[in-house]
Formats: sequence, C-alpha cells, structure tokens
Amino acid sequence: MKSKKGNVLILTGLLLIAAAFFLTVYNLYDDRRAQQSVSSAVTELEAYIPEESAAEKVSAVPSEPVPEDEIEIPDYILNPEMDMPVEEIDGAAYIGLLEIPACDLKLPVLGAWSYPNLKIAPCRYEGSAYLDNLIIAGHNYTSHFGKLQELAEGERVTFTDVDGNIFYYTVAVREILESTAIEEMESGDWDLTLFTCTLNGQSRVTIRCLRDQ
Amino acid sequence: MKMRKRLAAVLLSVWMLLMLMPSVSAAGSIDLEHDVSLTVSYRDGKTPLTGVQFDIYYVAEVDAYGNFTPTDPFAQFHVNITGKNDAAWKALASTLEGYVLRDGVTPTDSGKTGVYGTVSFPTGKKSLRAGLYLVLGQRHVQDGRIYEAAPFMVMLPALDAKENAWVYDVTAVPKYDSDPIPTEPVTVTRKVLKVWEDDGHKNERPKRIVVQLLRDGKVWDTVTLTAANNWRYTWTGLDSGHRWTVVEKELDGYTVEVTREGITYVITNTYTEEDEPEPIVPDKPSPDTPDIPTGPPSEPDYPAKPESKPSGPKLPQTGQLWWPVPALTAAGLLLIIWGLLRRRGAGNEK
Repeated sequence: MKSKKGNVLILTGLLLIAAAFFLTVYNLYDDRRAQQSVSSAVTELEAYIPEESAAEKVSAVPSEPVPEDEIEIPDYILNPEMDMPVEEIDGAAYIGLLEIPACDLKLPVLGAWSYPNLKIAPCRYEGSAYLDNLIIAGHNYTSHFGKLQELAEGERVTFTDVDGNIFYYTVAVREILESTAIEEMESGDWDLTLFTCTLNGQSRVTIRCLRDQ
Repeated sequence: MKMRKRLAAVLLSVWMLLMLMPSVSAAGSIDLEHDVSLTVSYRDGKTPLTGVQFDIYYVAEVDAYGNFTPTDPFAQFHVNITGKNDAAWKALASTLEGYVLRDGVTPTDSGKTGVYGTVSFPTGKKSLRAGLYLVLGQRHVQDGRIYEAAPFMVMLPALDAKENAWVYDVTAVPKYDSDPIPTEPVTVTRKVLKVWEDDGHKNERPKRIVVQLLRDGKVWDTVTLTAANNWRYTWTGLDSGHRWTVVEKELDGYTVEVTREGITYVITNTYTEEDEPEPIVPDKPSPDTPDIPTGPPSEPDYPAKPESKPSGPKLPQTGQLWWPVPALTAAGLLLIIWGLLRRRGAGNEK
C-alpha cells in the first residue's frame, strides 16, 4: 500500500517538474518571438523615419542660412498638444523608437497599450513626448524591458518619433512601485517614464527620466 | 546667398501697438464724423519702393467707443476680429488675406506708391469711414529684388497711447520680405498644420476639414485633413515665382486663424459655444474710458489625454509567468523524495 502511494507521489512530482519544464520552454519561446517581433518592427521603422528632423535639416548647413520664412519648424513645436503621429506596420500603430544604449536596446513603441500590444512591443501607457509626460510600459521580456532594472541613474535614453524628431533623456531615478500605484506612476514632473514588471510580477520597475535641455 | 531685409519690422510693430492695442486712457470717444486717412510708406532703407499697388479693405465698422462690427463680406469668414495683441492682429491679417484672394473681394480703395514710396488713402475723390482695415501690398520687383509686403490690419483712427489722443491721419510702414530674383527656377515646400482649440469639446470636432492652397490668389489644390493624416499636409516642388497662400473652408461653430511659421501654415480652429457669432463687445464702456475690444478668450488649456487607461485598479501586468517554475520544481522534487521514502519504507516492511 505504502509502495503504491509512493509511486503516486513520485508520478505527481514528475508531472510538476514537467509542467515547470514546459512553462520554461514556453517562456523562452515567447521571449524569442517577442525579440523577433520588435526586431522586424525596428527595421521597418528605421526605414520609414526620416534621418534628419526638420530642425536638424535647418541647422545642418550653417554656411547657407535659410531665410526665416523658409525654415521648417517641427510640427510638435508649433502645436505641442498635437497627437503623436503614428506609422502602421502590420496593422500595429507605432509612435517611434526608444533607444537605451546601456541595455543595448532599440525598441519600437506602440501608440496605445493593450495586453495583445504589449506582447508585440512596448506601448505608450499615456502622455506625449511633446508635452514631456510620456510613460511607456513594456513587457519584461529580455528583448523588451527585462533589463530595465540594470539601468542606472545618469544613463542616456533617446526617443525618436516617426517624424524624425529626437528627444534626449537622462535617467534620474529608478524606483519600485506597487502594481496598484497608478496615481503615483502618473504623478511627478518626469519627462519620460519607463516601467515593467518585476520578476515576481507583483511590482513595477520604474525608470524616471529628465529631458536634456 | 540670399539676404533678408526686415528694416521695417520694428517700425510696423510699433505702429501696430499704437494703432490697435486697447487702452483705457481718457482719449475720449471717436469722432465718427472726422475724416480719416491712411498713408503707406514703403521703403527699402532709404530707397523708395515705387509703383507698388496697395489695396485696402474695410473689415469692420467702429463705433464711438472703439467697438467693431464686421462688414460684409468679412462677417461670414468666422474670424475673431478683436485681436488681443500684435500677434493676433498679424494672424487676422494673414487669415483674411487668404479669404480676400480666394473670393476676389473688391478692395475698398487701391493705389500705387509714388516716387517717394508712399501712397495715401483715400485716393481721388473717395472718402474713408472710420473702422478696421486690412491692407495688402502686391508682389513687387525692383533693382533685382522681389519684395513681398506682409498683410496688416490698421484701425482708422489710431490711438496714440502716449498722447492719449485719436490720430485720424495715420501713417503705416509695412513689413516686407525681400529676396534677390533667383537665377534658376527654385521650388519651395509649404505645409499646413491644423490646431484645435476646443477644450472639452474634442468629440464635437468635424471628422474632416478642407484646406485650399492658392497660387497667386487662385485655388491650386484642395486637400482634406483628418485625424488619419494627423491633420496636416505637405506640398512640395512649388514654384517660388508664385505667391502661395492657404485658406480653410469656413467651418460652422469655430473661428479660424491662419498664421505662417516658416514654411508651415498653422490653421487654428477655436470652438465657439454657439454657431451664431458672439457679440464682439457685449457691454459698452463708459464714454470717458474708450476701450478697443480686447478679443478672443484666453487660450484654453487642454493637455493631451491618454487614449487608453487601465481598466482595473492595477497597472498593466507586464511580466512573464516565471514564478511558477521554481515553485513547481521544488514541489515536484519534494513529492519525488517523499515518494521514494515511502517506497523505501514499504520495502523495509516486506
């Protein structure tokens, strides 16, 4: 009788370990899928985004001053409240590219967050780069925001919108917020915020950035 | 290399303030029976710009207290004719210029600058009524340069703030842009960008607006702006030898303002509570304190709102399901060890 019960216990134990194994395999597969997802979007976005923004075009030829009425002023300066323009790739609407050199990351950013979108790429949680209150949420896939916790204060972050305007930031604060801290996440005078889940999924690694003047 | 000349900018700016800024000074009421006149002095430094046609348009009547009432056809253009500052008057002139050119509005008076670069209105035996005028100067070529006079608004009579007196004979010095005549064909780019000032009424926006690009006053292209094209459009490869202007087709429930910033025409539509034009000045000031109306309400403040918000009380769950892996592994190992111990115990009993 004891032997039979022992066999049941061993079998159950093996099943649990098998479940852990399959979950690990699934997670690794999902991580790889997520990496491929952002990789192809980055390639297409880079091809779409103009290399030089309007402002850079103007300043690039200092020897030939552009007449005042022929200067191209970026639209977001003329109207900071404008919606961030999007570029659609495979049915997903992207607002730009996020680069974090310290984490060796170059990621596309989707215009609106949803759980299906978060599986594709980091998403705008709310705000606008033009109003200096952009908040970006990302899955903690290794290829998405999984390395955020390694990001130290003083590291550089850039965001390039689909018009080619580049916004430069410096990491000012790294903090851990509870999953219910919605108000805290949205408050504070931060120009850019990035967040993702901690490994246990209970809290959020939150990176606060200030825009370089 | 192109050279810019803006010699008259400061002068005009001073004039605009002199003529149009509101005042609560005791200059007294306007004598509507007094003759008014306008002299335009158009010079490039000391060089008079001669033979340049200027057209003036009677945009609004003024009463003795400085309140405006738009005239026909300007009442139909959905513009706010009560500029609160220099920039607002400049924007009004720019906006009205487009409509005047598009609709071929007949000028109230026209004249060409003489040998001294001046032209005085009224011309001939005409007379001018007190009120708000739009002044447009035509493109002019002289000494190898092209001159483009900026449109401007002028009130007749003008208020001299220093002297606290109404000036019935006004002299204006137009601002202008000047470029050498290009030796080769030059193309330019023009953009249009829509701005909505409709705090709290975003959902009432029309789904589309129609914008026309005018070439020398004639409709050259018509485009539709929508949220899908981010309410903006770019025209490229336009011949610089023409005058390009942008107008928006009139929109009920909104006032329109067109300003040019570099190559971009910014069209601002401001929501009005009622379709009917608001009374410009609901309350008349006392005759002792004449007050030119100060114009549109202060700019609404509408921060960009997120299009999506978390539906629940938590921030988005952005983690992979890793925590069960060690838990399942540990539990599985414990069960296996337990099972092995049970089997060993059963073997020993046998």
